[in-house]
Amino acid sequence: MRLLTLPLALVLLLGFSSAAHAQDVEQYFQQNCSACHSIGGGKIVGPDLKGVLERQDRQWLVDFIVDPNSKLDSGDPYAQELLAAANNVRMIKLGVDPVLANALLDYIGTKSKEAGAAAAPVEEETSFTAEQVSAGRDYFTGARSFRNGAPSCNSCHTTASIGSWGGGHLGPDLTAAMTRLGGRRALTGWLGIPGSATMSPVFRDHKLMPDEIDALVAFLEAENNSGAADAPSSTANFLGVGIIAAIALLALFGFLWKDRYTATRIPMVEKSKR
Amino acid sequence: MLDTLFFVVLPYLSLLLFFLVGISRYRKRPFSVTSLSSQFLENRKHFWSTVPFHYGLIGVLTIHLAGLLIPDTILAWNASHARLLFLEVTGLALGILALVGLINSIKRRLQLPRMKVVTNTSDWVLLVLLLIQIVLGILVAINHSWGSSWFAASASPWLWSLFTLSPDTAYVATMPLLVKLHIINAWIIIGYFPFTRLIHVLVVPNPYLWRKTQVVLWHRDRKTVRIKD
Repeated sequence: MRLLTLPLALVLLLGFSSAAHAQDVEQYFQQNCSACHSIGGGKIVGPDLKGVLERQDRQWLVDFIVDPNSKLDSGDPYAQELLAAANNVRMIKLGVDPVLANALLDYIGTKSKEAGAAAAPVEEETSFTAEQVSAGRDYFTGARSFRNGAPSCNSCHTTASIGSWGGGHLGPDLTAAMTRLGGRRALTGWLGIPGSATMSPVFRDHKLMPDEIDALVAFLEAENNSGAADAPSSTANFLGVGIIAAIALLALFGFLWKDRYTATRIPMVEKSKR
Repeated sequence: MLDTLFFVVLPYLSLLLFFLVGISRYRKRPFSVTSLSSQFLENRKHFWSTVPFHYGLIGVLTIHLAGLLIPDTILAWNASHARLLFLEVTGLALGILALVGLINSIKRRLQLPRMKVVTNTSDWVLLVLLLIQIVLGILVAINHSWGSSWFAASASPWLWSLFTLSPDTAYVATMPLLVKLHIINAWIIIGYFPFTRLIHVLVVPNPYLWRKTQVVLWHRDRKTVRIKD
């Protein structure tokens, strides 16, 4: 009996783990890939992955998923073609190993068969309201805070109308972000699961709500359509103000301790000589 | 790979050195736990090095510590743009103050023969490390604003991932080079800390703040003990 139990347990365990694995891969795709890629839903930021295995060799795809930069930098013509089609937005290195990359390709292959004909990407014609644009601006600057506790955009980004003193310069200027990503749909998808390696760990636990995303898209679309150039760098001005403030503090120290020698030390020395 | 080395291995190694060497030094050579003040050797140049350096650095470290301990409060504070600018300009000014103090301190130790004598190799290494760190900090502040916000959002969770023994380098792996160098040099300073006079930071004479004042009474006849000029 006991002899039978062990193999049975093993079979059950393996069966469960492979089912769990398939679920993991689907979940992984939803959490890490779907912001930029659909399977049969048209181009978002990156290409529609429906039938990707028919377009390119499997090993090439595995290599690309594992380390997009080395393929993109190698001058590989197909990689260059992809980069141009994605408005030069590079796919980020997600830390996927070849095993997971193969599992993802299997998942994409299965889904490709289920998916219907690729729908042409539909850009909504509706325009955003002024309230949405203004709410988006407030979310951007932090005047209105995100409900799940995400930091406001201006911690790291600025735009033309926010100005160089208004927003941060850790990440890129977002004035033309919508054009760079490839439209409203791409931007909406991106904000749902921010795909950059710096943003993704921060926003993983602080997801933006749909209405917040809409407001931000409205604001960034308005910035994009304004056609303004990126906000200028604030480095020199900020340093200048910092130096002035430092000089003021030095002057304050000089004033506060102006009696430092004359009040105690010099009289004491004089007194001891008497 | 490098990320693991710099943002997991280095921090733990530095913390290990900090505590093991720090405690061992305090137990074995308690009288070496001092800043070795040189104020009595020279005081005029000393004032313009030690005062800006200490007030600047204590302020800057307090802001870093606040970002680590109360990140949500910092983000809430920064929700108002005027408050954000106030915090950022204050932080930058304090950093510049620390730099001015440190440069004066280095000049004083280089220029005055009696100061050169009491400065050992370890002091020079430390001064250079601190100079690099403060310059990097200022460069990060002016090139990659707003540090107070993104420190709270990105660097703080990374540090907490280290402290809770579940290191997650994703938060810092893609930071700009200047930020990475500032972080790496910070851990080098923390690891080197217990070998240097920085050890005095751990024994700040806090009781001075609340102990009763002491009145010094002179009983001797000054004329009899006076040194003849």
